[in-house]
Amino acid sequence: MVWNLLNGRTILPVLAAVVALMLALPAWAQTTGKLRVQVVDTDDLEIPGVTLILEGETMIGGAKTRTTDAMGRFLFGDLAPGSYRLEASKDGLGDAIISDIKIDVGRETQLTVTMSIGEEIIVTAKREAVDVSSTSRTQVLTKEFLQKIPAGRSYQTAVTFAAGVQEGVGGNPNMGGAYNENTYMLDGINITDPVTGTFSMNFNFDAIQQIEVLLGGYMPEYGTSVGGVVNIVTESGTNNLEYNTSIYYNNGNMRPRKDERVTSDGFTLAPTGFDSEFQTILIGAKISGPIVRDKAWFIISYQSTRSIIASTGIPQARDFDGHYMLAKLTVQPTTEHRFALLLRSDPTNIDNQEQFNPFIKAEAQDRQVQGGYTASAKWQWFLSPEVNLDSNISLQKTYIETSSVPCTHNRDRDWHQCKAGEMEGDIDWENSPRLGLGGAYNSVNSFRYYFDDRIRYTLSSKLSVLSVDDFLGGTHDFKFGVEGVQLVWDQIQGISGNAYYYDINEAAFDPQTFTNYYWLETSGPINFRITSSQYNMFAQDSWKPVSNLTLNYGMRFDSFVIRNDLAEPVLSGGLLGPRLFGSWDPFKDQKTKVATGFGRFNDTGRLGVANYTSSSGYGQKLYFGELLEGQGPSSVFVNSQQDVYFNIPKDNLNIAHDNLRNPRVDEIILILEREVIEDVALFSQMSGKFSRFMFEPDETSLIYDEDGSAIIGSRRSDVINSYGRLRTPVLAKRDYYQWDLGVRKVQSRRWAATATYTYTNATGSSQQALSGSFLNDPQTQYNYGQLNIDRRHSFKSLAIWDLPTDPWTQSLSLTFVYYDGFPVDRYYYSEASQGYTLRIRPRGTYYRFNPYWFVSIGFRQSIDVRKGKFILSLDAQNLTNNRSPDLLSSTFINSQNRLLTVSRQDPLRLQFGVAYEF
Amino acid sequence: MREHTSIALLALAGACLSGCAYDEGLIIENLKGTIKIPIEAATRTIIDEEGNATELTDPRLIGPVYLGLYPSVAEANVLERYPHPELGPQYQTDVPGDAYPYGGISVGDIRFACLEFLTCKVVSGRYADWNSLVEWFQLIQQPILDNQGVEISDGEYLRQTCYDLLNVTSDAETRITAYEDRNGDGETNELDLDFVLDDAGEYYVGDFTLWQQEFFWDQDQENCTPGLDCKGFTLWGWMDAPSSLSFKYSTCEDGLGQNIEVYDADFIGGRPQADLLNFPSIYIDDGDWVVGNPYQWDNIDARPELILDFEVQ
Repeated sequence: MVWNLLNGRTILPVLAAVVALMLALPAWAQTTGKLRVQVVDTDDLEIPGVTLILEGETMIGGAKTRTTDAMGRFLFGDLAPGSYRLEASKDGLGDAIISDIKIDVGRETQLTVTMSIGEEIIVTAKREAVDVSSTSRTQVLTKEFLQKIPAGRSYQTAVTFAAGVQEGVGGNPNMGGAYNENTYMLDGINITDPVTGTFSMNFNFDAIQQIEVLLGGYMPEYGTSVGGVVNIVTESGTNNLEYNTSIYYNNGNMRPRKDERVTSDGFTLAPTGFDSEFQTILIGAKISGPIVRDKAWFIISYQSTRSIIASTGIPQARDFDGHYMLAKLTVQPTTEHRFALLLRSDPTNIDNQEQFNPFIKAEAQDRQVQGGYTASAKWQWFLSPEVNLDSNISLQKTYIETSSVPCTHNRDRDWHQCKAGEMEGDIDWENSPRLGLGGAYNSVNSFRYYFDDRIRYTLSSKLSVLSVDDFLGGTHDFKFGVEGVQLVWDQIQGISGNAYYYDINEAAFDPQTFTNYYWLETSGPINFRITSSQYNMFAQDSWKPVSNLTLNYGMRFDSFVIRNDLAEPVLSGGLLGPRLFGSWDPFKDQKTKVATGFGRFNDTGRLGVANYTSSSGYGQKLYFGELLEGQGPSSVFVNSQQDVYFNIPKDNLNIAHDNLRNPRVDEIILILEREVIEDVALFSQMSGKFSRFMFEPDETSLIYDEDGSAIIGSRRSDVINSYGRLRTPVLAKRDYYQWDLGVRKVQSRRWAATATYTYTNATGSSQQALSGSFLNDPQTQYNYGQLNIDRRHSFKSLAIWDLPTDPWTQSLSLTFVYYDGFPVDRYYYSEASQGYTLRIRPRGTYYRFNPYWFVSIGFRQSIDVRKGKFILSLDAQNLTNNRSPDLLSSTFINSQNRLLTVSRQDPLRLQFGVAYEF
Repeated sequence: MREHTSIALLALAGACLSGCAYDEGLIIENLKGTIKIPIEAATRTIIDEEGNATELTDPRLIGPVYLGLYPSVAEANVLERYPHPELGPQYQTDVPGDAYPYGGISVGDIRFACLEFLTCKVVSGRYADWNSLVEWFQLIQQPILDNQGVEISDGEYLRQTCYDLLNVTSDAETRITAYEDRNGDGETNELDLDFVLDDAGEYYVGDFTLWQQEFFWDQDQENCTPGLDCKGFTLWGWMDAPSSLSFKYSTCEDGLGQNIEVYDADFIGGRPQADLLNFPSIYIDDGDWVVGNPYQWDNIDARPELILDFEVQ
C-alpha cells in the first residue's frame, strides 16, 4: 500500500526532497517509538478492516485513526514516548479498549488485540518484559525511573544504573569502550563535545522524558559512535497546562570534618587542615502546555545550579553557578506537517576552579566562564500514515573562557574586564608573570587567558517508510538518511608578556628570597582553528520475514575530512559500516529472544586528532639567569649559560603518516532473554568489540636503548627536537569483552527492579580509539596488556516500590552498586621524556584497585493539594560504602605510582527536595 | 530474490573484510640476530691493594653493546683506526659530520643502580643477582659505598635501597639483575643474562632485537622490494668497555639523568649520551671492541651473527 502512494503528484516532491537532502548535508537517532498492533479474534485469526483509534497525552495532532490491513495489522510510527490508549472497533464485533500502553524511545511495542462478537473488552496493557524485535544492547530509562532513583538529579549518574554501563571518568561512563567514545544525543541532535568526546551541555533534569541507553548492536541511524549512545528525549508538552517548580539541596559534608590525604597503599600523609566540601542547591521551574489544543505545544524549563565543592587540602572552594534553560515549541498545523523549534543554553560561571593545587592563593584562582547554546529546527512531513520525512537543521556551540581572577579596568586590554566596583587586584601588567611551584605565587602578577569555542552545524534528513509488504509475506520498515556536519574548534590561549619566570629552587620557594630563575619565553599565544566536514548517509531495514523473526540490517556511509590549522587535510575517507543483526522469538509467545549479529562502527576522528599536526605551536626558548635587581626582562636577568638553553620552534614538528586510516570497531553480540514468570525476565548479553588501527602518535627521530627509556641516537642528527608522527598502526588495538547477566522486573503491581552482574575483559595496546593514549615509538617494544577500562566484575541492582497508601503516594528506591576495581599502569622513569611514562613495559598489571561498593536510598512523598500536588523527596546517596581511593577522587602520582586522594573517598550525600506541580 | 540476497550478503561480507588487508605502507619489522663477543673482550688484569695482579675473565666486564643501522660503513682508516660508519657532509666549520643512523638498539643498558657511587658503572643484564653485583665491585677492588660512605657488603641492602628509591617491588622492574628465566631451565641465574659463554669457551653470545625497525633501502635502486631484492642498511656496533681506573663507561654522562632528591641523597643518576649512534667516534676509545665485518641487511628475515672482533688500541 505504501508504493501506491508513490506515484503521480506524490512521488515527485518526495524525490525532489530526497535529492535536495542528498545534496545537502546531516544526526538522526530515534526520538520516538512504535506500536505494532495485531488484531485477532478469539481463535487467533487475523481481523482485517478494524478501525484503530490511538490517542496519547504526549501525541500532538489529536487522535490517529487507522485501519488494519488484510493481515489484521497496523504499525503506528513516530510516537512520542508516553502512555497511550487504543480503541479498536468493527461492525459486528465488540469494541476493544486497551489503556496505558507504554511507548518508549527507540522501541517497538507489540500489542495483540483480541476482539469477539458482541463483547466489549477493556484491558490495561502490560509493559513487555522482553522486547523480541530489538537486537541492540539497550535499556530505556523512563521519567518515572529518573524521578525516583537517588541519582543526584544527574542524567550522567542515572545512566550508570543501566545494565552493563560502567562508571567512567568525569561523569562520562564506560559503555562498551572508553569513557570518551560515547555519543550524546538530545532530541536527535548530537551534543557530544567534538574535541573531547564527552558530554558537552546541561539542562533541567525535570525536562527529560526518557533516556535510551545503547551499549552496542545499534543500527546505522544512531551515528558514528564507536562506544555507546546516550539518547536523551525531552518533554514537548501536552494539551494540559502543567507547571513544576522545585528546590533540591544536596550536602556531602555529613562525615567528620577532617579528611586526611591518603594514598592507595594505605600511606597517610599529613592532614592538610582543609576538609573537602560538597554542597549543591538546585532550583528549577518548568511550564508546559498548549498554545492551541492539539496544534501547538510549548515547554519552557529553567534550572539554577549552584555548587560549592572543595578538594581535600584546598582552602578555596570551587564555586559553580550554572543556569540551564531549555525551550521547545512544537506545532502541527495539519496532519501532514509538524514543526519543532528547540532552544537551549547553559551559561555558567566557575570561580576558583583550580582545585588541584593547594599552593595557589585564593585570589589567584582562575575564573572560568563556560556553557553554550543549541538551536534546532525540525520539520516532519507525513506523506502517508507509513511514510514520513524528517528534516532537521541545528547549531550547537560550547565555549570556555578562562582568565586569572585579578581583573583590569583598563579598557585597552581586551581580556577580563573588571565589573563595576570590582577591585582590580595586585597586578603588574607591564611585566611577565612569575611562577613558583605549580603557579604558587601567580597572584603577584600572573596573567593568562584561554578562550575556546566548539561549534557544530548540522543539516539532516531521514525518510521512514514503514510496513512495506514483500511477496514472501514479510514486512519491511525502511529508513534512509543523509546528513551534513561542519565542526569548528577555535582556541586562543597565552600569557601576558609571552614569558614566564620560574624559580629554580622551587622546593624552598619563598617570594622574599628570590634568587635564581629560569626564564621561559614563548612565541606568542596559541591561536588555531580546526575544522571537519562530514557527509553521511545510511540505509536500514527492519525486516520481519515471519512474525517471530526480525532482521535488522543496514549500511552506513561516512565521508569526511578533518583539517588542521593550516587547512591541510589530516584525515579523510569514505567509510562503510555494515550492520546485520537478527532476533528470533522461537516460541512465538513474545517471552523469549535469541539475538545475534555483527556490526562495524567507524571512527571518523575527533578534532583533537587533527590538532596533533597543527602548527600553531607554543614555541619556547629557555634561558637561565640570575635575578639581580630592577624590573623587566632586560634588567632582571643575566644569562649565566649563554643565551638560549633550548629552543623549540613555534611550528609544529609533528606530521601525519601518509597512509592514515580510520580506527574501527567490529562488534559481535549474542543476546538471550526469557520471561520466566510474569513481568520477570532473565537476560544474558554477550559482546565482543574489537578496535583496530587506533590513533597513535610515535616519535620518528629518536633511537632508544634496549630499555626504551633513554636516547642513544637520532635519525635526524637532532637529539633535541622531537618529531612526532600520527599513525594508525596495525598493532594499535583493543579487544573488549563484556557479559551482562541479570534479571529484570518491569514496572507492574507498583514495583520494578533489576539486578545485573557484568564481566568485562579489556586488553590491548591503546585505551581509546580517539586519542593517542600510549606513545608507540618505533624502535621500542610495543606495550600490550590490561587496559584501565577493564573492570572485571561488577554488580548493580535497583528497586523502586510505590507504597499502596492512597490517596497519597509514597515511593521507595534502593540501589546497590559493586565494582571490583580496575588496573593502573606502572610508570617508570624515562630519560627520554625526563619523567615517568609508559614505554616498553607490559601495562595495567602493577596495581588493581580494591573492590568498592555503595548503597543509596531514595524516598518520595506525594501530597495532593487542592490544585496539584507537593512532592517531598529525601535521598541518601552513598549511604554506606567501602569505596577506596580511585581515579574518580584522586590524583595519580606517576613518580611514586600511587594515588593521592584529593577529595573525600566516600561522601555520604543527603539531598532534600520539595517540588510542586499541577 | 535469492540472487539478490546472495549479492547483498556478498557485498556485506566484502565490506566487513575491508580493512583486513590494510597496509600502512611502512615496512616495520622486529629485526633479530646474535652478537658474539670474544672472551678477550671480557678479560682484564686486576691489581689488588698489595700489588698482586690477577687476570679476570668475567661477563661482568662486558659493557653496553650499541648497535646501529647505517647507510654504509667504511673500512678502518688512519683517522678512525677501526671500521666506522661513514659520515655525512660537514655543514659547519669544525663540526664533524653525522653518521645518520636509520635505527639502533643497545644490548644492556646503563642502569641507575640507586647509589651515587654506582653512577655510570652498572649495565643491565650482567649480574645474576644483587650479591653478584656487590661481589663484583669487591673483586675489582672498588667496594660499593653508600651515600654516607659506608661500605655495602650485602646485596639485599642494595636491592632494598633500589626498591625504596624507585618505588618498585620486583627485580623485573629494576632490570639490573637477572629477572626472568630466559633459557627455560627453571632457574633465574647467570645463564639468563644478556651474554652466555658458548660451548667452545671462545665467545660470549647474546641475542638482540631491533624493535619495530622501519626498513630502509638503497635509494638508488628503483622498483624493488626492500629487504628482498634491494640492499638494505648496514648493521654495525661496538662495546663500550669500562675504564681501567674508575670502571665507569665513557658512553655515560654522569652529570645528567634522573635527579635524586631524598632526605639522605642528592645526586644525578647518569644516562647514556644521546648521540652515541650519530657520533660514535667521540665515545669509542682504547679497550672498546667494534664490529670488524658489518652486516648489510638485505633480507628482512635474516638473522645475522655479528662479531665484535676488532679491539680499538
